[in-house]
Amino acid sequence: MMLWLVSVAAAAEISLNVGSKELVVGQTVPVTVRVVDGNPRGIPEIPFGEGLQLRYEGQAQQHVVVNFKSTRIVQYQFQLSATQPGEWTLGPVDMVVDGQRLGAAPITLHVGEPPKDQGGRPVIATLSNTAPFLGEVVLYRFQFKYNQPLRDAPRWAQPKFDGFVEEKVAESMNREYKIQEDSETYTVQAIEVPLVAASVGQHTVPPATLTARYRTQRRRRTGRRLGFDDLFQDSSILHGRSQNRTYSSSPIDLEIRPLPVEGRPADFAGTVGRFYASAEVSTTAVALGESVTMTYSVRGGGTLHGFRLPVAPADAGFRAYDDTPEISASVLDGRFVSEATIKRAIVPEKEGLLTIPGLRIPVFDPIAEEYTTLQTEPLTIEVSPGEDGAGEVASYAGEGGDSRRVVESVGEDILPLTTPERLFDATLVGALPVIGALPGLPLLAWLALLVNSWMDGRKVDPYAVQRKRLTHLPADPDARLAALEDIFREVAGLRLGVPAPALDADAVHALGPEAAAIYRDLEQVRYGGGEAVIDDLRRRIQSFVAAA
Amino acid sequence: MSGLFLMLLMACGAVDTSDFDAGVTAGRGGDQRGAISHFVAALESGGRHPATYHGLGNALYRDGHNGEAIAAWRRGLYLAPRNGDIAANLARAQRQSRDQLAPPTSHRDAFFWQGALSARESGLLASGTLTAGLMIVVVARIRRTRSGRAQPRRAGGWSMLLIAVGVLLSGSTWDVVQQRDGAVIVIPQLAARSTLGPEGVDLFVLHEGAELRALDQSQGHTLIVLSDGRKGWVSSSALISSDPASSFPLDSLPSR
Repeated sequence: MMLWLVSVAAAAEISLNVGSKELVVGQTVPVTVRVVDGNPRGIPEIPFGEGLQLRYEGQAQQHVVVNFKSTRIVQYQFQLSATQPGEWTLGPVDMVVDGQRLGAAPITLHVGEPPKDQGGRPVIATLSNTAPFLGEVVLYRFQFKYNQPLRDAPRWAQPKFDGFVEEKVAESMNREYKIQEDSETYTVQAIEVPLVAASVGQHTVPPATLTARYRTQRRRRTGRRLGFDDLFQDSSILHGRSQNRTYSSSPIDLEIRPLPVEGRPADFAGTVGRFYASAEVSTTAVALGESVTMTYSVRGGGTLHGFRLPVAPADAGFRAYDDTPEISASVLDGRFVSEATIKRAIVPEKEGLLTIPGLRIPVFDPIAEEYTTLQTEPLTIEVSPGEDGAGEVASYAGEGGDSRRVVESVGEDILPLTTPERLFDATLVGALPVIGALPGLPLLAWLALLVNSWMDGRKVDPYAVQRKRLTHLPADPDARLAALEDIFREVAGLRLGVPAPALDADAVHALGPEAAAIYRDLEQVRYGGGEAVIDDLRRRIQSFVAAA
Repeated sequence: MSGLFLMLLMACGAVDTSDFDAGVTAGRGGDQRGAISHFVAALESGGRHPATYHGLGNALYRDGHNGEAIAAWRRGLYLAPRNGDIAANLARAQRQSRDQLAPPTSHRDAFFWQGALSARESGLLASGTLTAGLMIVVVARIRRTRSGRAQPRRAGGWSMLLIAVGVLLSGSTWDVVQQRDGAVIVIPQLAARSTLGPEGVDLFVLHEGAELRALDQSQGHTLIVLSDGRKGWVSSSALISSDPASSFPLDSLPSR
């Protein structure tokens, strides 16, 4: 147990930390050397490159208890200033801690060009090149310098870049750092936008504007006791006092130059910039039927958006299949760097030594102002026989094996027109007659049926008329008898479909024995009958009419 | 009934194809200006067919008029929403335009089927379903008059369903027609101003091929609205409507 405690106590660690590995000339960042669970002696010596300056600030110590375990941390603090652009190394750190020599690995720092000197102007806008060639990448840089506290992040309005398009792979870069000028500490915020020159001629980048919201300080009145306001004098929440200032940069005139026609290679595809190309192969020996991977890398200061490798020649002795290019780009301290990495699978078609020709890409170098050709060395691989049948299409169906390949696209264009069988007005207006006529036909038929029904409803029902007459018979017996006979003849005529005067006994007989009996009784009662007979006839005729 | 329908459809809108054929021949022979003239003549003589707009868009594109080509293909796509060739050409031309704007919607989201149907197709479908529903009503009425029996409940349900579908399709067709206020910028660059007259200020700049919606017209200017809601006045001569039923002006071509 004691041995374990000793080993824990002896497990000291040392580390070197820096505020930022990307600096610009004039920038100062904190550097700390931290010793954990150890008792260091003296101040650590940290070697640094000649483009850097290091100043010791002090030492701090703290104890941290985590999970009942106490950890002691000793921290040495330095201030590191960048004085020259370049790649510089900080460290390594070598210290004696508890009698043991411990070390921390060195750190490589990149120091970029200093911010543009803007004198007393709070904002400036610059363009890395005011006479770029068509297709060249330039950097637009907007810089804001201040030494008063801000309430929130300043808002800037990006101008319209007439004649340029924004580089599609890289994103705008925002950086903030502190610099010392005339013993004053300033904060500098820089925004860099990569642009590709897209239109030949004179252009002007209009002013960019920036709105900053400064915190204002209250002036303390003399002779007054310290109060609540003084305690929270810097609190923007409590006071909410601020001052808005809007700045604008100067416009930038420029001219985009066309690419020279003279000396332009026939296979020039529009790549502009100073580039470097390299190629490497995954193996130099391969069996027939297997593939090797070529990795091509193109890196430089121009846009590689849409970059493709040249198509391998058909008689090269191998087949080539390209992966999708991996293209990256970045902006830092006034430099734009893009890189394309393309993997190409090479499948040899015959045995023996195979020479893969080097890459040849014509580019325009805007610094030298001439066309050059990016080249890589040809590479040779040895193709061994491999297994039987390797390199050939395997077939299990005799000689009828399918040796076809997928048709590769070598270009892109709009799709052609196919002639239709019949040309007609395909708009809604052209079809309106049909659209209106079709439902119109059943609608008209339905309306006709409705009208017919209505007309039917207006026709007088002759049976109803006779039924109504039966309810309003005259009081006089002779007149009542005559009315009853008339009603009977009308109803019988309607039922037989003949006029009432044309009825006779034979015709009425067709309506049944009851009708014939009524007809006969009516004939007889004309010569005398009495009220009882007439009432009897009325009832029978009522039944006859109701049955109709 | 279906025969009558087909006869009506065939007789309706059939046009002379000589201008269209001449446009196809000129375009395949490399005479893009001639092809444009013939295709526009075919449109004016009533041949507002997706193929005519496809051919016109191809000729305009080959002649270097990206904005006009987008307008022609957009019109063709309105007439034939399932035509993949026109859609591919339109997408290609849109990728070459500078402004990243969503094109105006052709219908409300509720009428989702209009994404696959043209106004003509949905109108004919609406007409057909309404006709079928009304035919059931008429036949049932005739049978009731003859037999004196009431209409069967199933027939009534079908007729109501068909008529409801017909009314819905009619509504979606009407909505599509109402949404045909899209337009395309056909000049290289155009500033949209806050108002007509000298007191207006430039609000935003549009470029050839940008698709937007036209809200109002006054004094040779059009009030436009972008897909993100921004509005501004632009010269009407810088726009071509994407409504396939309107004329296709070529005023901007000779000067370019």
